[in-house]
Amino acid sequence: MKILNERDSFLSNYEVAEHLKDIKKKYNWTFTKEDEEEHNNDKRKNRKRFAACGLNLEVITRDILAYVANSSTAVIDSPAKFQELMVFLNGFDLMKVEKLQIVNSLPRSMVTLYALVEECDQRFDEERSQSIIDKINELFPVEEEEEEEEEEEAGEAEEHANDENTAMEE
Amino acid sequence: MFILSELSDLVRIPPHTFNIPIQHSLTDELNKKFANKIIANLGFVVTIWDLLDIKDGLLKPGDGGSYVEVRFRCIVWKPFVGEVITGWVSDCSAEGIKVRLEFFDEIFIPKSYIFENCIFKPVEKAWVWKPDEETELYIDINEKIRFRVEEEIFVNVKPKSSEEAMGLEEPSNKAPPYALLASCQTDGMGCVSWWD
Repeated sequence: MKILNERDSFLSNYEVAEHLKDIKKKYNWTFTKEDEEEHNNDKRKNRKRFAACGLNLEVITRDILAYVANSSTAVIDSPAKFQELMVFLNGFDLMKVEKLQIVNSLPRSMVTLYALVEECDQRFDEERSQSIIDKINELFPVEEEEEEEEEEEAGEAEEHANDENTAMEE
Repeated sequence: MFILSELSDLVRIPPHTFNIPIQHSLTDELNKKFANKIIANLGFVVTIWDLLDIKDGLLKPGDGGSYVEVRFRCIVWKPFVGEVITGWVSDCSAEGIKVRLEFFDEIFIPKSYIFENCIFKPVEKAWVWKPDEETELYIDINEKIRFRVEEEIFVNVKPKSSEEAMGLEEPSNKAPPYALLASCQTDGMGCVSWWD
């Protein structure tokens, strides 16, 4: 074995998760009860689980997917939103690794953003930093806890309305 | 964070996989060899990303398999010094805090890298941070914690001798092949719930 290039490029957690999900699908692995049910309900003949690649890959796929599901990256649901955030961040004078860390941990408060970006207070004024957080909240809204339940429901109702509209259009 | 590393290796394709396309059997063989393993001084290999170049297979007398040199890229987990990661506290002791991720356990925050005026309470088995006189913030086991990577340690692990494998002898290498030292000293670090 020879190492030709130690770091060809960086990957974000999201990209890794997508890659591993493809692998999981390809090999028909099931890691949770829901997966299991889905697998059993699958009417197609494609029920065979492949193991030619060894157990280790299955273990690491399960663990990394669990890690990503527990991390803040789990809220990224579509490549389009991911792209939009990247385009937005490109407008800032940020290092590549800093952008990547923002994408990976999606800071929701000033103090976490300051922890990720070195000398953030000198490089960006408060407004600019706040705009990053606002953008993240706008693209990937977090479900607030009980106190704002009503708002959430209203939001959901709106979403349903939207769904119906799109369905009509189709 | 994850990176892509470019490697090359000589892979033996076993004869019973000659009937499937070589890309598939190569990926399977490479995954068997590298997935979920640590490469010294590189990092923790997750899986193969893509194959870049496949040379012609070579035969060896007396062996049915074909040996193929392949250039490929793999996903490697290698946090850089200064990166901020979120994990779970797995153990607290007087020496410091042990942190685990879902796939990696060897992360340690030594006591010198924890907040100033942070003390260990043996009764509760927890570290307590006192930012001022009245407040007491606990770092308990299984709490979500944010930390900064300070140092990575690679140890060359020797293969077990036959006596160690049978359990007759104490294993000589106890150190993990890859471990991280982390710190928890600046604003935004420590339990995630403190800062939100």
